[in-house]
Amino acid sequence: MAPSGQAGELPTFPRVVEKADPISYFFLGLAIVSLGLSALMAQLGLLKPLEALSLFLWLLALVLWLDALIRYLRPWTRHKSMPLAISGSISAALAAAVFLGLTAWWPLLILALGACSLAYGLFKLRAARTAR
Amino acid sequence: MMIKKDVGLVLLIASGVIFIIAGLMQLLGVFPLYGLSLIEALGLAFLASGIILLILGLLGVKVGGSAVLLAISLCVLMVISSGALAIFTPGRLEAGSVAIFRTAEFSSVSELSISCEISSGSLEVYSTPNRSLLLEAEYYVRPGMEPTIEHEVVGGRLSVFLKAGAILLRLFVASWLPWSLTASTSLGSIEAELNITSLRSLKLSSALGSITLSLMAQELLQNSTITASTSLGSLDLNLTIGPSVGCQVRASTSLGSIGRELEGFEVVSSGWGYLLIRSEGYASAEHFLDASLSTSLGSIDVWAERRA
Repeated sequence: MAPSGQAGELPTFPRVVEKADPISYFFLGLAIVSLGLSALMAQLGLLKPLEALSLFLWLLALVLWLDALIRYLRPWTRHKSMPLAISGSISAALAAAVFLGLTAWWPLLILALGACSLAYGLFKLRAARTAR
Repeated sequence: MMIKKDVGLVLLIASGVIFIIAGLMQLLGVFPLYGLSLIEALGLAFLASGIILLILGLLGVKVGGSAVLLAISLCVLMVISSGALAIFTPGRLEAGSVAIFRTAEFSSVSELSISCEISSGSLEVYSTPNRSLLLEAEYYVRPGMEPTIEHEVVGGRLSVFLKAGAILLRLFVASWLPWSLTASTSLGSIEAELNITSLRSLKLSSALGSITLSLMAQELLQNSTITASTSLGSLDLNLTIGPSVGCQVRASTSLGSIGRELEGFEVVSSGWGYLLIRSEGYASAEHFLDASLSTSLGSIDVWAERRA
């Protein structure tokens, strides 16, 4: 399909994927539900503020991991699964650190960051070698 | 043979390994470069990162974000190795130890001088009216990171020098004899709650930590000076003085803000990042207290009250 546009204007190209990504909406909804649930439990006095924050981060990590897994199973969106999995891992590490006490357990974040960098690097290196 | 494209990925993997080693070292309490100051550790990290980038540049390899991540990971590793953040593992701190200088042991002492240098952690200073005590230092450190405490008595003056890496330190200073304190921290905060009736001088400085001062003097036995400065942290002064005390507070900040709440004090001059206040009846006071507060980025808040 040829690019459209009037003379003097930048040409516009049609979107490769016309349909909106329904998976994004579903998981964004789940993330917002997690936030609401955690805030509600804190407001009702069932959880302390830090516990509620930890719960939200745990739920967010689960949502992100699930999102990554589902995207990995669909070739269309496979490229998005790695960033989501990494975000989920960092969220889980942050949740654990908040739950256990951030002043003592903040190195968990560094560990998560290191594990993600290592996994991402090894994965990409292997993919590059396989492609060659 | 490794293709140039793969160098970025190799750097990413190296960063990951370094982050994991740094995280494990902090969690397990292993600090092989303990003794290096924070600035020295960061300097070494910058040096190593710079050399790696230089080599990659000479080889004509484009690595972009991976190189930055490697530099960050090296900085994290060096800072953790130096033990500067060792205090942030509370569960592993050694039970509190105490160093006490009693009046009975130093009966000839008529003046106290304390010098304290801390890398990270926190410093709390309290005054005590207990006449059997000159100085008590209560501290929490990791095993093997005990502070060095030295002292000498010259001409009736007890001088105590305390130096520590990562520490939670609480000082109880005798408020009934003339005393002076000089304390500096790199990362740690400083909090002081003092009766400054017998104070000669108080000098507090912190690079990144905040300073909170709560000072009270119904009267002064001599003129006193207070200097408090911090680069990034905030500075709070809560000051209460009696009518015989002439007090002047000078506050200055480069980029922070200055807040004030005054009673029995008047503003002599103020401007952007600057404030000078004096107590009422300043000129007719018996003794004078001169306080100077400064920050670079942090805010300054002054609550000053002159009680009749």
